[in-house]
Parts: sequence; structure tokens; C-alpha cells
Amino acid sequence: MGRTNPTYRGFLDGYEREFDDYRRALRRRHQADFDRLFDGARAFADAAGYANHLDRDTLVLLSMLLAHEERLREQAKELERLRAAVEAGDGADAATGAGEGRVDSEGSSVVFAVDVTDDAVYVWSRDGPDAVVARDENYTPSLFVAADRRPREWLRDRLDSDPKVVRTATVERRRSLRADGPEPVLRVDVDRPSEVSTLAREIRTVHEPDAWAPGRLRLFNVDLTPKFRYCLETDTRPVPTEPLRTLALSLSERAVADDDLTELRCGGDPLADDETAVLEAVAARLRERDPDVLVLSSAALVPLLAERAADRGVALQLGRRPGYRRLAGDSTYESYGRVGHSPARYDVPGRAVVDRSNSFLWDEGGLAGLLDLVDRSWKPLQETAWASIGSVFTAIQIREAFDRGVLVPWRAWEGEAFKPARTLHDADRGGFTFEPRVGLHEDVVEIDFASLYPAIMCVHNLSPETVRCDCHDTDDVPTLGYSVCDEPGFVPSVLQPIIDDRADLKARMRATDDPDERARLESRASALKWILVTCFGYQGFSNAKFGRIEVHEAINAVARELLLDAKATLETGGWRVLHGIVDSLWVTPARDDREPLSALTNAISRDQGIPLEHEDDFAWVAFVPTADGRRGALTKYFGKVAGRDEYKFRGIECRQRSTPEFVADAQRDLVEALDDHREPEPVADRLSVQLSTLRRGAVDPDALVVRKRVSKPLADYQGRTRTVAALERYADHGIDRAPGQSIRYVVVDNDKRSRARVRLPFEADGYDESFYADLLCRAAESVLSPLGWDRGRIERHLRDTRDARLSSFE
Amino acid sequence: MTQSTTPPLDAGLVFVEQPDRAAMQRLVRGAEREGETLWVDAGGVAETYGLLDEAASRRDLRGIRVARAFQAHQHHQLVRDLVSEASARTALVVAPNLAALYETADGPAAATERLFDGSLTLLADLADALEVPVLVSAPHGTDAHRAAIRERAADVIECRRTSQGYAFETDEFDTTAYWHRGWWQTTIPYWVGLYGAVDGEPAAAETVPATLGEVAVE
Repeated sequence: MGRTNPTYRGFLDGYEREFDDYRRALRRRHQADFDRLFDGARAFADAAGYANHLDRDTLVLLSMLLAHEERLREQAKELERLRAAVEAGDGADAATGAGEGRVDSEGSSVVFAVDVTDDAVYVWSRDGPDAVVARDENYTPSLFVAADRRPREWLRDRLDSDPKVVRTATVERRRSLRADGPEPVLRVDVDRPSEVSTLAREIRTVHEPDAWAPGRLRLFNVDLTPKFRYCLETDTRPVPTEPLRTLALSLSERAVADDDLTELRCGGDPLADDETAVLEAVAARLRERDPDVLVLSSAALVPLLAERAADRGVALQLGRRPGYRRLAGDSTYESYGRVGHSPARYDVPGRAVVDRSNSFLWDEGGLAGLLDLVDRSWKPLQETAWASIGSVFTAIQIREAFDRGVLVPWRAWEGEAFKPARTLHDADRGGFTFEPRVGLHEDVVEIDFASLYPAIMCVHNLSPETVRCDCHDTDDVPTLGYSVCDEPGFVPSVLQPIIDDRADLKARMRATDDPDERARLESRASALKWILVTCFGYQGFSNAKFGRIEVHEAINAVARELLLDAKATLETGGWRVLHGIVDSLWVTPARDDREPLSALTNAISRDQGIPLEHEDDFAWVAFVPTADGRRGALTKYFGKVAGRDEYKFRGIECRQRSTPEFVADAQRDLVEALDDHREPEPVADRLSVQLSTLRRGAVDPDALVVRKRVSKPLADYQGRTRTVAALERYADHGIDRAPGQSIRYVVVDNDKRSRARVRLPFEADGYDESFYADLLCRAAESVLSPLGWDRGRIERHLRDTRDARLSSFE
Repeated sequence: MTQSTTPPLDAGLVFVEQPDRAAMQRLVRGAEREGETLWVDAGGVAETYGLLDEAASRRDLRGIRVARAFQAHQHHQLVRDLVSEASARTALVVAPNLAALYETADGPAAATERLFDGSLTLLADLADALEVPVLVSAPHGTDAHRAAIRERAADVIECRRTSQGYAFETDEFDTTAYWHRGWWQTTIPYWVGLYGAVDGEPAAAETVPATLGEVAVE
């Protein structure tokens, strides 16, 4: 006798088949979920068979539920393990260990590179000397939508059928720094990292217009760079603790344009004379050194090396895996009114690429400075190297915002609050300036407020959410009457550690005897300095993620009062203020019975809570007048440091990047002549000698190269300027110069209007004497004008002495 | 002298065609206001040194409240904020350079166009709801934006700079006299308006002075 009733397993197979159509209609990821449900039902088949229950449907459902219970129990256990790890202090790593195949779930974080692709994220870390990679296939970036309940739920329904969306959830977040508390927002998890911005655009231009007024749906966490986003969202600290191995490759711009690899240098050394040998040498260096960081003179080297190696059949692999990816096309952008150029960027697997031609921070802070900023921002090395200071500062703020559960706005919607025009009149002003007293002054001391603006923000708790807060009605900002909240502000909490750490780095620099250590500390201090310099302007920057114009105004108002108070204290103490601007004052003794300067600066520092530091003692300082000679020009001065053979130049020609080396040297020479004699005539005599050298044609054209920054494409230039002539010459050589990039040329005939007006440095064999004589005379005027000599007076002197010289031959 | 140099402002959306910054300020200063002016600024038109002409004092800024936008989304938000800021005391609303920030905005044009249309609609609705003049301008705006504003506007003030100062023209108003500090510059149409033409038709409605009389006041 066989069995008449089918077995539970047999029943289950049939039962599952009944749902075939249902399953077919599901999206693929839900099909997988469906299959897991039946896996659960099968997992307890023994028990179900044994129960021999009449209602087999219930047995199936009960088994599925039991499988769920089991998974919940496992997850609770894992959660407990993670919590324990977090409490033990290595939170970031424990959390990243959640995904399968991740490294370092126990050890310290050593992640140095993150490659985000649509299929998976590859997280590269160092395990001792070796590089290891972990593959994360479960990562889904999230953007957020804030709106009232109805539009939010409406959008949620629409997005549920969007294949780009993996899941949606209603979660609690703060919409802005000024929000009273968290509120429900929609979290949208996106399948592919590359589709976040597409989806955001669709919500704004396809979904919202169907039913809602513009701006009813507000989008957040949209424009984060992919690697940075990954680290923030998965709590991955991208800060290597092992020293990274670097490899530097450099090639001149001209050679890049000519596809000429023979000039390629590796770590400063030339490699070989022919291309194949160069490529093989690079491949060998890469194998031997196995670098974590590629420091390239330009990112254009990535495709160039890869293509040439393929052509020549050389096995050259830049990354730790084959291939490279182009991340973004080159583009021109405008920032703070200045045109910049951002060239294409490239990813190579397993290595961070630093593009030196496009990394201000590498130049300023080197690897040590960059890593310090990576630690603060969690923006991985490659993205930090590429970023501007403003975007690193923003990244540090974004990380703080993540910690506080505050969303990062896509567009800056928050404008200023309406204020009386009279308040605007008082507020809409910059820093305070004491116009410099034109002339040469002896015995001058420069004193500076250390990191004035960031310090003001910290001391006065100025932050977008504290200034003109809703909870206080106090008069906390001098002259403006704005209230400032007592709650610890967001911006101060970001800035105070930077101020403190920089002071600490400077103290350690003074303490150490080891020059290498000092250089490392200096790099880090310098990177931080730039953040502090930028943070103020950023408060008033229209696209700042967390900026607010009222904070900018409040900082200026406090700074103005502070400088005026300091001036009053110094004057009462017997000193005269020669010049003051923003955070610096130049003072000179006014009375014999004066108080010591250090006593006064200590008192001011104490009163203001911001250190007023001694910057420099000058034997003399000369303040240069404006072009019309009527007033002192701001930040145009030069002087000799007391007790040392050292000069300080600000704003005059020798400090300007466009000034040719010959003119800059000549100007410094004139300043030395001024130091020797403190009279105008000997300086003018020196100029006369320099002019005759120039007119003899005895100057090397290399020393006469003018450097300019291109502000727009060649086709957009109207006039026949020298820049246009130079750009045409670059084009003739097949070198493309985009806005924001530099050009270099020698002027050979300034009267011409064609490209014959200039030559590129490598073409030049002569120069236009009168053009350079004019530059030289202008530089001389800067040196002599503090003594009351203008261009006319200088020329008269030159003529008279020439006549005198001629007459001496008669 | 009862003659005004700026036109009376009627309730509704008023499009001020091609003013420069000072012309917009002149119109606001010239408006007879019993109450508050709300000003949504773009492009620094609410520059306070201009609002205060040389003879005036800080007191002249009384009754004007300003909020500045520096990009499109902020501007649209401020226009929305106007609805809650406005009250029975509101006598005038000003939104210069209405199109400027939308035209330079980042992001897809479709999205910023929606914002611009939304702002324009809100301002027109606000003018009707409050029954106050709402002055808007778009001196550097695209033709399409200016046409959109013109279509919405209840009134248009044409604005020109002459050698004697600003001339404003509406359906019912022409500037016929120009205020200079301490004296008035009049034009032929001014005297024609006062005494009538000698011979039927007045001379061409020139607002740029031809042969002019100067009338000292005080």
C-alpha cells in the first residue's frame, strides 16, 4: 500500500507552482525574496511532515514565519556584536565589517582607496605591506526627500515602481541646522551609485510638476562625491594608519600635448630614451614599489600611458587590477568670480590618483596635510587631493551634519530673513581698514590676530543656526542687534578642533629637532591654515551648503569693533597705528613713556578671547600710495625685517605672478638700494643701470616670460591682446589652453597686433626692449612712490643723469 | 511745485521696463507710501547708499524691509516668504531683477523655469490679494522672461535715462520735470501741460529738454 496523501514536500512543490504567475509578475529582486520565503517553508519540512496537520497551508506559513524568527535572532546577535565593538572603540571598522567579504572587521581601519562602480564597491586597505580588497555588492546610496505627508507618500508610491529605486523608507531626520528637531522624511535607496543625480533630476522635473508646486519636494544628500558618500553612508573611515607608498610620475605639459613619453620622470629620475623602454621602466617601478598612491604631474598621464603601452605591446598596468575609468569630462567652472579649469579625472583600481596639476592642497600640505584633512572629512585621499579647500571644508561640515542627523541640502533654499533696510545698511559692510600712512616708516611692528575670523565664530558662537535664532531676543552682535543662541553652534564645533590642532601642531614644530618631523607637522599645519582662511568667505558664498549671509555680516561686525577697540588700547598705551586691515595692525612708537607692546597685546588678547600675536619687527616699512597718489594703497607695502637680512613684499610687482623674473629681481634689487641709502636718488641711479642692461639686449628672454591666466576660450576674446596672440601660438603648436589654465609668453614686438606680438618661451630669441623698460619703470615707481617720487620725477632724474653723464664725456 | 517726477503706483503687478539700479530706487523713494515696503532683492539693487540719496537721512530707510537672494532657489523661497511677511501694513512690494537668478541657476532649465513661473505667479497673486503695487523688473532678462512678465503685468512703466535724469512713462504719466538738488528742470510738455499749447497740438512729446526754462524753488 502506497501513501494516498502527498508528502509535505510534494505538497509544497505543488503549492509553490500555484504561485508561478504571481512570481513572474514580481520584479527580479522581489522574486529572490519570494524564493527565500519558500526556502524557509522547506527548512522546517521535517517538523511539518511529522505534524501531519490537516491545514497544510498554515504549516507552510508557520514555517515561513519560523524562518523569519531565526533570521531575526541571528541579526540581533550580530547587532549585539557590533554594538560591543563600537563601545570598545573601533566603531567604524566594526560597522563596515557587516558586509560579506569585508576586511578588518576586527582590526584598525587601514582603508586608503574606494572604487565605486555600479556593480560593486571595492574597498582597498593595507594589511601590513600588502594591499587587500573587499568587494561590497550590497551598497545602495540614499537620497532624501522632505515634504509634507501627502506629497511625500505620493512620491513614495511613484518611486516604488522605478527600477532605479531599491527601496524607500520613512525615517526621521533634521531638514536643516535651524530645524527644531527631526521630522519624517523619505529615504530613497538607489540601485546604482551613478543614478543618484538622474533620479534627483527626475523627481524635480518629471514627478513634482505632475502634482505639486515647485519646491514642495525638497531634495537632500544628492550631490555628494561617490567615494565620500560611500564612506559616510557605510561608516567607513578612509584613513590609512600604515604609511602609504607613493610613486611620482611627471611629464611636462608640452610633452603631454605631443604624446612624447621620453621625457617622463619617475620620482624625479629620467627613465629611458625610447618610448618602449620608458613604458617598461614604468611597469617595472610599479611592480617593485607597488604604490598605494600615484602622484601624477597631470591625470592625462593615465590614458596616455595606457594607450601607448597597448600600442607598444608593453604589459603596463597602472592599477592593482587591469584597466582605468574616466570619471568626469573636463570642464570650466567659475568660483568667486575667477575662472577655473577642471580637467578629466581618472580612477585606477586599488590606487589613489593625485593629479598635481589640479591639487592645490597637495602643493600646500603634501601627503601629510592631505591625510589630516581626509581624517577630518572622511573624503577619501583621491577626492580630497582633487578638491578645492572650499569643498574640503564643506565635506568636514557634511560629516558633522551626518553625525547630527542633519540632511545636506541639494540646493540652497534658505535665504536671509527680511530685515529693516537700516539694518542692512549697517550690516552690508566688510572689515575695517585704517588706511596706511604713505611713506617710509622706521621701527615698525606688525601684530596679527591669530585666525581672526574662525576665532570670532568660535568665541562668539556664530553659526547659521545660532545667529538671529528664534529662541533669543538679545542684542549680541555689536551695531546689528542680532541675537545669538547659547546652544553650542555647528560651525564652532567644526572649527574649534581645527584651531586647536593647528596651535598644537605649531607648538610641536617649535619643540622638535627632527627636520623631517618638522616638515610633516608644517604640511599639516599649512593644510589647516587654508581651511581656516576659507571658512569665513564660505559663510557668505551663495552656494554654500551650510552658509548664511547673516553669519558673514555678524563676523564682520564683530571684527570691526574688535579692531577699533584694539586701536584705542594701543594708542592709549603710547603707540601709533600706521595701518590696519582685517586682522593685522602695523604700529610704531609714538611716545617715550609708552607701555611695552607685549603688555598691551596681552591685555587685548585677554579682553577679546582671541590671541593678538607679534608677527614681525621691521627696521622699516614703506607703504605705497594708490595710482593717483592721493591715498595709501591697501596691502601694498614692502619692508626690511629687523635684525635679519630679509625683506617682506606685499602687493607690489615682484609678488605678482605675471611679473617676469627679470623685473621682479630688479625690483627687489631697488628695494635693497633703498635700504642702503634711504634716499630716492641712489635708487633711481640703480634703475638707470638696469635699464641700460635691458636696452643692450643683454637679458635672457627666459627671464622675461610673462605668465597669465586664461579667462575665457580663445574665440570669446574681442580685442587683439597679448593673451590672444599667445593663445594663437599655443594653438599653432597643438597645445590646448582652457580657461583657468596658465599661459607663458615673451613680448617681442608690442606694437604688432598679430601673433607676432609675442613668442612662447621655447620660441623666443629676443624681446621688445621698450615694453620691458616700461614694466621696469612701473616696478621702480612702486619702490620710489612712498618717498614722493612719481613716474614723472623718476624720468626727469634719469634724463638729467644721462645728460650729466653725456656732458662728462664732452 | 506739485509735479511729481515719478508716476503714481496703482495696485497690481507693475513691470518696470529697463531701469538701472538707481531708477528702481528712485521709483521706490518717489512712491507715496503709507505703510511698509517689502523688498525681495536680487543683484544688489537694494544697495542702501542708493536708496538714501545724498540729501536724505537714515530715517528714509524706515519702513523698508529687505531680504536678499543670491541664487534661484533662495529667491523663490523669499517670494513665498512674502506671503507670510505681508500684512495690512504692507503698501508696496518690490522684486527687481526678477529673472536674473533663474537665468544663471545650475541644474536643468525645466526646473528653474518652473521656479521662475511660480515666483511670477505668486507675485501677481499677491498684488491682487493685498491690493498693493508690486514692482518688478528684469533689465537683463531674456526676451522670453520679459514677455512673460509683461503679459502678467497690470501696468508697465517705461524708464529712460535722459541728460537731465530719469524719465518715467506710463499710459497716464510722463516725466515732464526733473528734480535736481535745489531746483527743477522743466520741459516743454511740462509748460504745455500747465498752460496749454499756443497752437492746438503741443510740440512733440519730447521729454528730453530742448530749450528749457529753469525754475528755482525756495
